[in-house]
Amino acid sequence: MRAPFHQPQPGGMGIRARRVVQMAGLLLYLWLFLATAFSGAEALGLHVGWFLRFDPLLLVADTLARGFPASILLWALLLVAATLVLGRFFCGWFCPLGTLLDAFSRLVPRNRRMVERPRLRNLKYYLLLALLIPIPFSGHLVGLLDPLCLLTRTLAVVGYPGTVWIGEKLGAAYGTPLAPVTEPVYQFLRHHYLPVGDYLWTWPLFRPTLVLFLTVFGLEFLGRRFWCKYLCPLGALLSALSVFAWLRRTPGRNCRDCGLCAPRCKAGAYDLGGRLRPNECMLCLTCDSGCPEDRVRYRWSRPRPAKRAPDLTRRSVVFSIATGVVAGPGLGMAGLNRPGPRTLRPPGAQAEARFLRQCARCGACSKVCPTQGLVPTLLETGPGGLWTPVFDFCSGYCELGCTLCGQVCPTGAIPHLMPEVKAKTRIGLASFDEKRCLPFAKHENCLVCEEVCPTGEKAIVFDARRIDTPEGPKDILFPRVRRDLCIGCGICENKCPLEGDKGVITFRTEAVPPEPPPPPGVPVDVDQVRSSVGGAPYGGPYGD
Amino acid sequence: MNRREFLKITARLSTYGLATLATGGAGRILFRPRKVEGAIPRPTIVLGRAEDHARLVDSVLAPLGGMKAFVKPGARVVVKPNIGWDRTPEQAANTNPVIVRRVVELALEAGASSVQVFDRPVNDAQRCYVNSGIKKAVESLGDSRARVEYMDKRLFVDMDIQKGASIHSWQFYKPCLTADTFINIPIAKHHSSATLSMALKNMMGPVGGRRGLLHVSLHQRIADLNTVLRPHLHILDATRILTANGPQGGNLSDVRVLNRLGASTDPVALDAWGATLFAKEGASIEHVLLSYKQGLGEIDLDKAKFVRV
Repeated sequence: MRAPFHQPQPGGMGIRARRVVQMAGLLLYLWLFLATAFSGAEALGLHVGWFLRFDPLLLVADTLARGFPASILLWALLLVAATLVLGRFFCGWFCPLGTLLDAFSRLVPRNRRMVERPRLRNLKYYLLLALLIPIPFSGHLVGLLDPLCLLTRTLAVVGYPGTVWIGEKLGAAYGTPLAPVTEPVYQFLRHHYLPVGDYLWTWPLFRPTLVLFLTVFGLEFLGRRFWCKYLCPLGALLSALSVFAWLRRTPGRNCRDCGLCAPRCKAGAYDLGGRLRPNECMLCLTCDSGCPEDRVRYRWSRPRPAKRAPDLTRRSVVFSIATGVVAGPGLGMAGLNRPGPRTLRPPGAQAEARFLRQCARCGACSKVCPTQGLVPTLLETGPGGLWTPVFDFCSGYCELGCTLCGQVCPTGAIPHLMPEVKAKTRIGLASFDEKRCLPFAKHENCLVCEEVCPTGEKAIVFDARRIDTPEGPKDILFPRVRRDLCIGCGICENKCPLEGDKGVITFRTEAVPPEPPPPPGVPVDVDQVRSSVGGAPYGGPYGD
Repeated sequence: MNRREFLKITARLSTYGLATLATGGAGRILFRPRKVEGAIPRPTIVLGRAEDHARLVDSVLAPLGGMKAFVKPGARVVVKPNIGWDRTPEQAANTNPVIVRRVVELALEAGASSVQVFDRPVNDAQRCYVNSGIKKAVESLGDSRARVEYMDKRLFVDMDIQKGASIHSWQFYKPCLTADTFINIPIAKHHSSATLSMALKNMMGPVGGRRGLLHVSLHQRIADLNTVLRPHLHILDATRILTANGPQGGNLSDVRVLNRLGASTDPVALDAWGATLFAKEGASIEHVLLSYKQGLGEIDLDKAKFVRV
């Protein structure tokens, strides 16, 4: 039997209050997202990582991954405690993705496909099990479907660069009719929040990220909060915790003489027989406001978990555990997750396997990276590396004094390093490609890489040689990487003037090619070639 | 058309032609463009030395007529310091923020309608603007006419470099070209590929495109860019100079505190003076020499008029 179509949502005090809280929560979230940027001080104030730290799913995943959770994730215990008292209020009142889905669903016309499918509601528990089981054995993909990670990642990879692009195109320099309105907004955002460098907004993951996000919204055409009630793993975790909650909606079933509640319930909390499953209830107050007899109450009552546990079938539980057990090693242990020679993780990241276990794929590090050097990957590092951050030195590089990615990381996969430590933390090693680099390949002096090398005592030095060329003898400065000083920040690769493949390439430390032999030619004085001025006396005849 | 008409038209056309040639020739004699070489006016270089860097700005500008000589009331002013690197003022990779602040303040006092301050940094712009101290210094004036701006890539325009010897077109930042007053405030520092970076080298800031490409025959290209970008006033910051590991430095041991400031309308002469601070001659720095040869200024300091304040 199919439940009837949804009815229009009635209004009411409770619902208005909830909407105000939802809007405030969404704005808080968006503000935190925008505040996740360099603002002048090296230490960030509030940032989007703070929202993610309250995510119990990340807490559970991190505990399974390492045996103990990152201390910053202990904030999530507050949400756990609140859920044990109030139930699944987070989904109905605070989840920014849920709020966006509520807003979007108002635009979706009611249609025949929007029927309640109570049997699907257990899907989210099976999905949660399948995501959690493999964690101790391999990487975890919880962050792929965690709603807060999903939203943050989408904003970072799609929303943020997309805004820059739209703002630029609509702006004054293009003289569009909208420019007088959009340009001041864009300039304000740009001055305070948006990246100001050359922006590579078409990251490889732009489209996959957008498709996943749009799928979540597209599911609204099949039912309101389809994602939340049937699929969301965080929703599953909070629902499972809500079995123990003290706050209950009464009456505990759809009244026979009226029957308005069940079809209106956007959490799909009623069985087909009309019984309420209180742990599914998001406390959205829709039924309260719509009750013609004013029967609906929220009361404190002692939880009876045994009676209210989700009705998972043994066969499906076994199946989802088996899926996890098979998928886990499949993702992690079959040797598929092998970092390439150029897979460079954020500064201070742990060894690859451990990094994959800790990374939440939330994209906050990509958001905060001031040069847009950190970008998410698709399958370059194996299926377990989906949406994990690596450096793309075409897009940006690692700024020497910057420690922002470690500050925003919600799980500690990127450690928060002090600037002095960070400046010495090796990401990889640069190596010159003698087939491309101008002095080697074309016998032309270039010097850009040495100019930008930030390590104080330069990690790129020159071997000056006089060599014979068809145009006669030439003094050439051949660059060389000092492997004791290079930290692999990639600025040399980023600023290398060659188009396409660069003349200097940064590798993982263990994958760097052997050091090349000294260049040919007769050694000459470096300082003479470039007329260095170091150590000369200062002041002169016109000095005073 | 018969023969008579044909002859008439031919005669008429040739008369016009001859007349045009004649007037053109006369015009060329009458309005002969000033020959660039040999026409370089005698430059004035004002030199100052003081520990109070803000007052130093006032004193070096006074012999040039003060800021009022350059900024007319209502003028749109562009100030181009060096904000190239994520370094602090003590590391002497960027222009001293105290000097930038005072220059902006003087321009405002002279009645500027707007003062834009910007650079195209090599490191992340936000970090450079903040850590150089320049953003805070200018914003501390609390005047909405003065703005420290991030350069907008939509405002780069392709320009022909008519006098260019190595490059013949490049992208230039439009506000620099259209400003009523364009003030260049470089810092004097060692530069690994340009030998020294001073007034002329600082003009590599407000250009677009892939600047790494400019490093092939860099010296000539610096001179070429300076044929298009002609600031009205150059103030060379030598309060702190970076003597090695330039242009970005990082080691305080490479920094010398000189407390000196030079001002001129002639970038070549000013750079030639700046070179002496590093015990060098202007002519030994190739881009300074090439700029002189392109008629951008006087390189022979014996021909310059020095005013010491």
